[in-house]
Amino acid sequence: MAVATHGTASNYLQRAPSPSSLADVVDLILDKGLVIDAYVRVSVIGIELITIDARIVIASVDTYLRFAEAVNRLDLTQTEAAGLKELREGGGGDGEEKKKAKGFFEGAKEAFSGNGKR
Amino acid sequence: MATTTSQTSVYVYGVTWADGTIARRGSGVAGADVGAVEQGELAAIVSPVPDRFVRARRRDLMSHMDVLADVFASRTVLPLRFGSVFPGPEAVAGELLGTRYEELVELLHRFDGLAELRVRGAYREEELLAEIVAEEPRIAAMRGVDALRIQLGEAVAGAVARRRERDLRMLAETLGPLVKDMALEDLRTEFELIRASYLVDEQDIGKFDRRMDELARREQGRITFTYAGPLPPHSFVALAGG
Repeated sequence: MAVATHGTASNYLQRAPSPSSLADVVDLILDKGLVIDAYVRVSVIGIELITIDARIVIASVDTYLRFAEAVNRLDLTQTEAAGLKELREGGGGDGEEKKKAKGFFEGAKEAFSGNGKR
Repeated sequence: MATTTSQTSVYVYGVTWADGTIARRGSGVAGADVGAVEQGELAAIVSPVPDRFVRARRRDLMSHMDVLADVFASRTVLPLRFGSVFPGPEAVAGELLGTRYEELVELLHRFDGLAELRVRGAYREEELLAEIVAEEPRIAAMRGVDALRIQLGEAVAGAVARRRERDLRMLAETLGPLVKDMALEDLRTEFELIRASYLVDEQDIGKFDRRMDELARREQGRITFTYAGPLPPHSFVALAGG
């Protein structure tokens, strides 16, 4: 869990002493650190794959179509209302907002956690 | 080759200065006790693993990170990549600490007092898109026109890229003066802004915290930041020739 430490008690910055999600831990310790090639032999099949699967190509027709769909779907009045509500409450990051922000890439994230259980 | 269950190999977490104080009970990879193999001034942080241990689990990944974080709390440590297993303590003393002795000593000196801070920033999708529509009349005009979907998407991609460039420059100006080194990782989604590790002097962590906090507060309407550390310098250590 992300916890505020070192005086960073805010709801706009998630601060943690160490990465908490499996994907973040994988990024930190599977790709990085000293390597003594001849002796690395623990199998992490299924974990290595997710980091590659999740990588996306930024400039593609597919991406353009998703961007277009997202912009067309955008309800500007709702976004403005949400922004005002946030201002009144003094900050974002409530559960509902997070859920909304997830929409676009839910698929990729599900693939992540699905593989992670293997 | 015949193996029996009683045979064990040695899992190595990292390398630190030898002083005979590294020991943790039952918290290592595969639940083993953590100890050290020492050679001169150097110590490898290790735990026994069964010879047949081949499949890592989530909790093993966490253990690797936690053991290193625990050692790092009180001293300099050079993390090894997850999954480094040696056939026995002699191999650790010889092949790792012995063969690489001078280089490891030099690295420990170089990373003395330095910590890794990992910063992730992602745009809030709807807020960013609303900002783009509000600021770019050409994009606003193409909204909802079915025949222009690809052009619209391309224009939005360009608008996102321009904002990313601008925001990365702002990040570099804010954090740059406090940073000794930086490692950037590939972005994985269209709405990510940055995945970076910064190498920071421990004395500057407080300042880095405050700048990060100000930045996140100022940008909270459009960017969500997450921030982890201080960590051992996972992203910055390397041995010559692999």
